[in-house]
Amino acid sequence: MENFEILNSYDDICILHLSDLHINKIRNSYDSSLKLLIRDIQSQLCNTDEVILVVSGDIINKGLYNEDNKLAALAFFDDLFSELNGKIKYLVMVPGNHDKIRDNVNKLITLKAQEDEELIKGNEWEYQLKAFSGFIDIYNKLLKKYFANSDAAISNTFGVNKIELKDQNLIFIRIDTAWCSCSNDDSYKLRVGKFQAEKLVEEYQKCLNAIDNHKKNLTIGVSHFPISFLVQKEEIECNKLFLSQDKLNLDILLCGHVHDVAIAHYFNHEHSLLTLLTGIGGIDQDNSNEGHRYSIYNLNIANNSCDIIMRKSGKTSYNFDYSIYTGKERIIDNKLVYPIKVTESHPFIRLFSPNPIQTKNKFLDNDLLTLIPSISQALNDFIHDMTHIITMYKATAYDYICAENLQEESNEYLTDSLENIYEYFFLDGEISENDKTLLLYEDAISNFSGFLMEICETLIRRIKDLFNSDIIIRAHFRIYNENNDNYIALQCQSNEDNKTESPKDISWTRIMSAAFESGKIIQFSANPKLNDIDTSWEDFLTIVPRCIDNFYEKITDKSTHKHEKRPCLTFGVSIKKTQLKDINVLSLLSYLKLDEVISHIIDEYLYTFNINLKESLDKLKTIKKGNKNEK
Amino acid sequence: MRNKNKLVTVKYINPSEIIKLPSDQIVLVSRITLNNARAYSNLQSRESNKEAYAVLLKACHTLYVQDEKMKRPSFGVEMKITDVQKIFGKKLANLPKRSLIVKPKYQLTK
Repeated sequence: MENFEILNSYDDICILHLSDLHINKIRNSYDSSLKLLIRDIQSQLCNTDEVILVVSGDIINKGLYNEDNKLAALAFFDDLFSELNGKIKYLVMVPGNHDKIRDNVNKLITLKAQEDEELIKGNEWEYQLKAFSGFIDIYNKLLKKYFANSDAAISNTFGVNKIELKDQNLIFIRIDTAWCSCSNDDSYKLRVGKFQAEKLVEEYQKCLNAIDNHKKNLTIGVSHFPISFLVQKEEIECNKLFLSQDKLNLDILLCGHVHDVAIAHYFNHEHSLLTLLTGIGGIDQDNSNEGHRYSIYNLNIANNSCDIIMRKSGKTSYNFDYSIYTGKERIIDNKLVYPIKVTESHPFIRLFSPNPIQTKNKFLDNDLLTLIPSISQALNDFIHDMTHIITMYKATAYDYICAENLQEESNEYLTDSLENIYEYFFLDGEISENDKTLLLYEDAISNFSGFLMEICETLIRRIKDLFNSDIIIRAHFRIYNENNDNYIALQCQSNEDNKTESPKDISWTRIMSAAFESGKIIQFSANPKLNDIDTSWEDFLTIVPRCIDNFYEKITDKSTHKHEKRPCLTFGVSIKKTQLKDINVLSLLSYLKLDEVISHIIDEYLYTFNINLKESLDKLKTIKKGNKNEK
Repeated sequence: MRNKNKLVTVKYINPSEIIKLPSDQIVLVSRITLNNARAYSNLQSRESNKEAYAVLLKACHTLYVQDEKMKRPSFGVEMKITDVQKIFGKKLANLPKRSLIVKPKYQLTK
């Protein structure tokens, strides 16, 4: 059952958001542009089975709630419900300034209330409600006709409704922001009012208490005006009212009314409020050539995603239009994509620093996210290549061992041993200690040096295309030189071999020390203060492969015999001619554990050929020193 | 014992016999041999034998171009005997016995 609930949270909750319809009776019916609207909604929702219809005010034009206009409005909704053929499962409506019947007495009272909402008490509110009787009447007629079994009829312009859809508990808060209006334009004079706020919080708590374990999934506010239209003091109060966990705790606010303002989302440190607007360019407005907008939201709670489909009317049809939203980069597949809860959607990757307070966090954006699959693919290709290369080494070694040991065909023991080696190399078989000695043929150690070079070369070949085209990348191994307590370059490869200088011998650096002690990759750009060497590389990763026995014990103080450990082998990737993206690539290589990959590949080689890391590196060091002496 | 001959689809030549082949004969030098030479010259100074290093770089470049085409590491690279000699010089005879291959299509008829 629980699993079933989890799966349901992956199902979209669909909200159809209409606003500012401004319906008038025209030739015994409603405006033909609304017929176009119904047709478009029907086509957009053809693949949806359950819809919540939200109407955020201004149903009738200019408060003219006469019988004709009311019938026209009801006819519109009848046609909409009928076209959607039972898909509308719930209806949530709030009044707009055009839903208030306008008369001069009410205007006088309202103008006073705009100055001081405390004036609205008891009977005064009942009087205000009368101005919305037409709106309440339409709402109740629709509830009665289409949702006879659901909540009782409404008697107020604001309130709280619990909706259960697809095993999700949604709480809708209907907020009346229009009661304080008395004209077409009351911007910045409006109030929600303390009386309404207190009542909404009380009803909301009651509603929460009625839900098992208080398990609500989303709280959605609906109001005609966005909160930026309220009196400044009310705007601040509403911010608290909507965002506080112990008040309304809204996740989404659906509004209408506006024609030309940018949308503002509100959030504090614990909570975010996604504000969604629609209805812009009302159907009967003088500027109707702007086009009327309606929206469909597909909310996916498990994915924390809100897909917004906004449609704008043209002369003969509706089209996608997101011009009122500014987030162009969020338009994907003809829809706008937002997180529902912003505070839960700021993931980052940690760029390690040995000093935790200096650890930097890189917040993910779309550029970074699209890089991850390419880098993951490049690392997979690299591992695949290295596995293939190890197989070549095995085949060559096997060939060589056969040639060396098959001199006498009659030697039973050797033949069996070769069989065992074949199985060990190519069929994942076990091998005895005795047979292992055969693996130590004369080239095994010098091959190791070539193998380390292959790691550098193959890694660069696989990752170079992830960077900008001018990049210079170098991958290198250094080995520890006990005599001077420094690190000398062993193998190094670059994508621009001729332009890159050979790695210098360097002393034991703080970056190396940090990488060794933490067992993590240290990225220079995330730890600039750790660097104590002079380098022309703009950014680099320092890795101490976690191979078996990758350390020397060094006596740092002969009098006290104090020991310090030094890694035998270090690895690094450095870049030059860097752009911001390139630093991100290095960060992601680190995030995707390039160190594990390198360590594993080296261990695989050492284990397969039964080689001791320290002994091999000592031998290579001798070759290197010998060459220096020769010079 | 699995038939070891199954692995041998090409003719390996003993490096010490390479001198007997015509200088424009093409042989397949195994990736590992070539890499070892490159790794060794990295350990040495690249400056010590510039000509050999240039030939080596070219051979490795060819190897990696092959890799790009095949989308995976290739077994080795075809080189003329003269170039092989430039890289390995006196050390030619010390190469592992099976590091140079004469592919059947290049095998001498005489």
